[in-house]
Amino acid sequence: MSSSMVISLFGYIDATGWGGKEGSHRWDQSQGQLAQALRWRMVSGSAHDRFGRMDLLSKYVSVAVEMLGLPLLGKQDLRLDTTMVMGTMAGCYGADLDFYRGIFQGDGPSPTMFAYTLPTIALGEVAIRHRLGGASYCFMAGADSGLLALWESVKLLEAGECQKCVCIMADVLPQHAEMIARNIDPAGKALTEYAYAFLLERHGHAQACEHPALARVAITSDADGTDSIESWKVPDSLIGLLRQGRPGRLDLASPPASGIKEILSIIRCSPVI
Amino acid sequence: MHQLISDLKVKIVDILNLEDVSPEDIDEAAPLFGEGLGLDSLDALELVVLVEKDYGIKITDIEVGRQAFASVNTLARFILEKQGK
Repeated sequence: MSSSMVISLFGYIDATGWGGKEGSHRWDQSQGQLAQALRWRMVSGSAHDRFGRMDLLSKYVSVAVEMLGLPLLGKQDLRLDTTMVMGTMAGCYGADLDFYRGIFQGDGPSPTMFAYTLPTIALGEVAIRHRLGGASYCFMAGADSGLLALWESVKLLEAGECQKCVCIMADVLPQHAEMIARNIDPAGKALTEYAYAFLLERHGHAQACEHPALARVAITSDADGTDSIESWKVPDSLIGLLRQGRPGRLDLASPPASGIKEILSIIRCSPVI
Repeated sequence: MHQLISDLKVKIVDILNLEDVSPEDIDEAAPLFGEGLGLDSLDALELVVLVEKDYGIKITDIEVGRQAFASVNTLARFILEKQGK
């Protein structure tokens, strides 16, 4: 087994509500459609001037990362030791479609809408707010996207590219899910709105900083004897483990040389560190 | 002038999707960008489109735009001047 990483913080927003290590909040169902009801003041006591103009992907990612509880830094400070990796099946496809429709309507789409027709903009919004000066990566790899983000986060930490990594798994397709689900995921599984964020650190670094290990993630070659789960279930499984508040461990099997899809379809999950 | 300032405040809040800011909260003399309302370059683009679409005024010179968008007051004066009022 190779070195393992720990998850020391997590944040989420999904159909049940939003929260993180410090607690959970449920949606007020009387507010109507969840995505339209989302306001920054619901999730944070500090101001966020740009939140209202963001596309839904950026909003969800911003909320999930906010739930990590990272202290806000001054404008002169940067977190250079922290990188970001996001996995998303559909990226900003919703914003793309809105922009496309806008071309044929009235005065055309707004400049703001155009800005959000890149999935990496969600990472940019987070980087600006939390002063994250490290590299950022966005993977769109179909049903394997979330797992690929986790895999790459561990690899970056293993390689010493960063001390900490914010791993994000997010998808928001409220109006378009049924239409494009089969194009993204051949199995035709329903896509839901969610964004999950995890702060991963090397085990030694977390110990030195006295950060608790909420879960452990390892790339391993000997994960026999545990239950394998499908790669597309990784985001839900991981956040479920953390929300239950019990330590857990995810073993990612070593990659064969036959391609990323085969690599990432092998994930094993066991409940105890 | 007063009516135009009120209209601009409403439009700014609406088009920029400013959460938790009402038109009455906007100080017409305060800077729109950086400090004050805290708008950025993307918001500036939206405002350029707004001025062209709603008032028929094209802003092609960066320096002219910089002066016009200094505050709600300067923007209102700029629009009235271009409209010859």
